[in-house]
Amino acid sequence: MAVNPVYHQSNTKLREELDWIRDAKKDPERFGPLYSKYHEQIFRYVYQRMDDEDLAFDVTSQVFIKAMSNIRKYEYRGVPFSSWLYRIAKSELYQSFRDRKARRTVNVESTHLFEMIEEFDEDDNAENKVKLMRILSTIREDDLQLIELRYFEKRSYREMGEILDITENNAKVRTFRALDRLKKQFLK
Amino acid sequence: MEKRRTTLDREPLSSEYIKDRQDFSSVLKGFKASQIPLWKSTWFYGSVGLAAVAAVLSITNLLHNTKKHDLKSTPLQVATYNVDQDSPPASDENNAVLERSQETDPSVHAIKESDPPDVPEKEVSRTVAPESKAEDHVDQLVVAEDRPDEPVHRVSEPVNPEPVYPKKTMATLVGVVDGPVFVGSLCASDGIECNDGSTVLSYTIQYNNGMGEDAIETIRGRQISSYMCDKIRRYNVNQEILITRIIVETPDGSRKMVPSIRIVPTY
Repeated sequence: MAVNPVYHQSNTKLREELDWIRDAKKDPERFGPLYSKYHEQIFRYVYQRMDDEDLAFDVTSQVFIKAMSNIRKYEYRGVPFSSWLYRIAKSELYQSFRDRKARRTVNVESTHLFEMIEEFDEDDNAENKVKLMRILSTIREDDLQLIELRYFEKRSYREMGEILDITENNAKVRTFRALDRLKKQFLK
Repeated sequence: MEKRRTTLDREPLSSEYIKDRQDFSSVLKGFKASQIPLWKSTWFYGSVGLAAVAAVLSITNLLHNTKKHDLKSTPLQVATYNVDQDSPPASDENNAVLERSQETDPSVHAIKESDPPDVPEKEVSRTVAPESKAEDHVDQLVVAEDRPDEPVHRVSEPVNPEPVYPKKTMATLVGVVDGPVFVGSLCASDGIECNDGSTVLSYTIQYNNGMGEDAIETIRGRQISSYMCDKIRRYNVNQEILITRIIVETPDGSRKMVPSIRIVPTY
């Protein structure tokens, strides 16, 4: 599933986006185009990690309010605007978990589970699926974040690095280690 | 133990549905509500606080300076009384004495220094503390304007403790008040002279006597002795010599201290 279709955008679109950002810095009411462009992506990122739809919309709105408040601090240095929004979304999401407004949820598709079990060289049967789901609900939060971004949302290591504020290479290494730990638990 | 809930194959939401739920106006409303008014921000309080402190400091400084200026320009209360009266009262009682005197003796009256506008402050006479005469603590003899035949003593209580001397009387050494003097001229001279005919009674000289430290000697008369000349010639060339506490007797018979002299003997 290609979750972030506009991540690799053309130069024209990028320039247009930078113009929107410049306008929004001058007047937050002109944040509209950015909101329209990124609302769905951010909502899906949030909703992927919680089970309450309305709360996911609320958190998404909160993300954009924060973004509007801090748009003056944003400077384009090669990192897409979307990654900056994802970082705010991550922060708001975990804030809602801390406030106990929402419960952390892992939403997985059968195909994702199948791909992972295949990677572990195990049989794709119901028992293994249940086992993997159980392990996913207990692994470290850091590991789960990496697995979600890489295997469930199909993001590139570069984008993962930008969202998690780490280097691309670091994202790669961390993901392999997380997968390795998951595998060890799965094969126990 | 399960930390989090796991959901398998949740029904996905369509892009259209998500788009329908977009509501930028409510986000904008939330943004406006989240904005802290300027007067509630830390920056505002910080700036206002700083400005207030600066203003208070400025006002305090201004008042302090004004007060200082006022004190400087406050006219001195001067009591006058007859010459045949006993010694003048202690300076801190001057005001009380002045008031009493004005009540009891019509010949006693107050003179304000500021009365003659052309008399500068530095010309205010003050008590000279010379040697051992009973009238030494008397400042100087002055004549009251309205009774020129009655000489009176003037006792003043200057606000500024700095010595104030009559402007016209200046002592010089070989015509120098502050600066270099040829040793030859210094030793050949008649000593300290005054520009208004006053006679130098005594002075204090600070110089290097060759013993490794500055000697301070009080000399009677105005002469620079040959002994001192010899010391100056040997040990004080191009060094500063201070001549202070120069007591002079004016042509009208009063005594006073005149400004110091600073010379640098040279060849």
